[in-house]
Amino acid sequence: MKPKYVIALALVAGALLYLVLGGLGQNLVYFITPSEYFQQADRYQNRQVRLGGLVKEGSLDFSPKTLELRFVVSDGVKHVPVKSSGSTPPAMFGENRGVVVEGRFQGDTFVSQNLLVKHSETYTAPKDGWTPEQVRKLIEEAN
Amino acid sequence: MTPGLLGGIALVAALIFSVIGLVVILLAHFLKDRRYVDSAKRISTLALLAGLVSYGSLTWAILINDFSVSYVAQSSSIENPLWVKLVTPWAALEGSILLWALIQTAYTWLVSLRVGKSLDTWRAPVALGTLFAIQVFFFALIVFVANPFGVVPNPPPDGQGTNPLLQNHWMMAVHPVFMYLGFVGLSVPFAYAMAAMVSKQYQGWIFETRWWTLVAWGFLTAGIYTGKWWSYEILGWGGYWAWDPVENASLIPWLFATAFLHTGQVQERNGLFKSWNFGFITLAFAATVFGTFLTRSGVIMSVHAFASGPVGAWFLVFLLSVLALGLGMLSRVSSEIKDAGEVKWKSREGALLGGALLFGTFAFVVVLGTIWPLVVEAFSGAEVSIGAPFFNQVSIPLGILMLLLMGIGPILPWRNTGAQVKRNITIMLVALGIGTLFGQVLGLTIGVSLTMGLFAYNLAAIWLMVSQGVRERSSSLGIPAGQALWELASSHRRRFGSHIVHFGIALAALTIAFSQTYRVTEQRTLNIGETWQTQGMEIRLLSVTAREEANRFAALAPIEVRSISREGWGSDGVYQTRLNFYPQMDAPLATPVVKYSLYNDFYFVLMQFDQERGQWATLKIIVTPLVLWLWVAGFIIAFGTIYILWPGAARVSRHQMTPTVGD
Repeated sequence: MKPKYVIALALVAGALLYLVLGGLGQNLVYFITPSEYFQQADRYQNRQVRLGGLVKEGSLDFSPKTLELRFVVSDGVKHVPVKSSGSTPPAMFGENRGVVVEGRFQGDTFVSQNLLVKHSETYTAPKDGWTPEQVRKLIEEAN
Repeated sequence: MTPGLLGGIALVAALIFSVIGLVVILLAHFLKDRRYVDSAKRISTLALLAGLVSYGSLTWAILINDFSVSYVAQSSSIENPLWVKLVTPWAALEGSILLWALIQTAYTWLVSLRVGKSLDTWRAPVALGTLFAIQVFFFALIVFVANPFGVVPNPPPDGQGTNPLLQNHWMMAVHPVFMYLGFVGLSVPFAYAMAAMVSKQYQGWIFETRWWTLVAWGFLTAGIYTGKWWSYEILGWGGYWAWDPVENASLIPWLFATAFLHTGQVQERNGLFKSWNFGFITLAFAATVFGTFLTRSGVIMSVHAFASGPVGAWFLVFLLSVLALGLGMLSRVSSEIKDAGEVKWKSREGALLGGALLFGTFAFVVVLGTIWPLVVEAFSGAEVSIGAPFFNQVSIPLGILMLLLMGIGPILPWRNTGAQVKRNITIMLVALGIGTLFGQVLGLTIGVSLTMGLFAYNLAAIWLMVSQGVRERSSSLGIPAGQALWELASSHRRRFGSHIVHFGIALAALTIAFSQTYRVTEQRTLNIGETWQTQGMEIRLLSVTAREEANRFAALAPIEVRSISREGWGSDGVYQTRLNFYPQMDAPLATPVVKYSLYNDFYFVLMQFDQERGQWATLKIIVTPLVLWLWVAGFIIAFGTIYILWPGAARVSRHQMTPTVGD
């Protein structure tokens, strides 16, 4: 093979490698719980994350007219207020149920772009006195 | 005899026949006795029959609502309409693997019919042996790990029902079947490749399997397409591809198979690229198993995930064996199949290899993106996912390179370039420039403009190839151009078919660029009688009602849509937006109403409704350009594939025909 082809190929391969590895790093979306967020709040500012937890009882506020949805995601220990606008909550969405929201933190409010309620058919609500670990397990299983 | 008992017996019989078939064919290989080959052929027929009986019993059990059969109790219901019952066998894990195994027995049987014809007795044992071994794996899996014919001691009065997502659209009835026909079909070229490597006859298999590979590729393409279509019309998010792990699982084998289809042509022509071909077909087949592993094991979260269970681990073992066997054999024979000549990049061979490398790279990138979350989790413990932006970012440059090569490749002659080729490429590049500029003048984004340019460029390439061939033939034989075109198209089916497929791909790329760039989503809550003007439409909510249906409960919100400006053209009509509630699901399923038009595609989804008084409903509208043409492109690709495969094409010998440009 002629040297100029080798160089061209190496350039293409290099560009691809850069694209792929760079892309993998940038597009990692971390899945965290409210407690994990407060451990390293700076790290998760202004990047895409998935926040998982339960919708706190009594925190849900939705207006069908303005389509503005506010609620608090909790893992039993820490709580994060979530704001979502312009979309309707999915049908399985409700208080004391598992939810995963994808979006970004703006200050300590989480602005959701996407509500994921991929639910298992056999859902059980968490009981009082559960540890965050148990809650986390529940959330993961519900997804 | 109950269907459960009959099905269970037939299943065990199918496993036993497969094991006997494998043993007999191994004897044939080691004892070099062709009588064993004949017995194995008969056994493959028996295995197919046993598979059919087993599958038929499952359907029978579903039709007569026999809930003492575990699969029926878990996945069916008395209320299901007939068509849902007929597709229920592949609605859940156990049944779908049974269908898979049945299709495998059918392919094995079809290959056994070729023994003594195109498949000589020396290679037949290894090819059939590979297929029997795959079959043993599947039947053993069904019998021991995922048996649909488990006995339910106290049969319930009604089953738990079929997955509502499957019941919601007829497309779901065909999508899995196409997928399996494609996945399993790739086992045949893989088996032939193994036989070629064992018998050290490296050339013939490529001719014998080109039909098989194209059939499998065609089904895989159809499977991916119906999946996209289903996703678009059912899931209610307005898209057709989300880079979900399971979608990726179907794309990876498709990419490897496509690479193989291209490099295979070079080997057919001049015997080059043998190791590439062995490698690509091994990877393509392994990728089908990898896909199944992803879907069935629950290691990666996905919307499609089947219930996780012990099946996943077995698929992993199977995947590793396929890879070890295929790549191990390849490394053993690699010194014997070194390419004799060197390949010039500026030739058909070079372009085909370049294209195949792009497909291969793309496949590896998709694999990497799909399993990266597992890698990160293994090393850091953090739970992550890879978003669609990653895949889009990587697939755009790769897609552009592919479209460029797709135009150039067929126009380059074998071995070297010529003077006319330079002229042709200049014309194509001018088309590329004009198309891109045109897009810019229309005010489109640079990406969409470039895709328009590439579409024009590929159109120009096809036009040049066809018109020059026709002109040459009509002037040399003194016949009218129409007749020359007709004769060329019917004698060079493969070449014309590939033009059709390439045209379909270029059109699909164009529609993907448009629809991904210019999709608009809006939501609003309307009271009854209220109107909403948006996207060139005036939407009025007519009423909100509820209705009881046989297997579900539905909330209906009919709307009336009138177009008021150019953007809304084609949206006029009255549409029933609806939410379906299935008893086996807590959440309602939205059934989007899709109104296709030549340009914009209008998509109406009922999101919420006033459950107390029926006064209001929340609607989502999604307007996407050119989606109709994406489906048209799918039909064009299917047509091109069938055009190549249509019987009769093979009988015309290549040597009897006058050469055409670039052929």
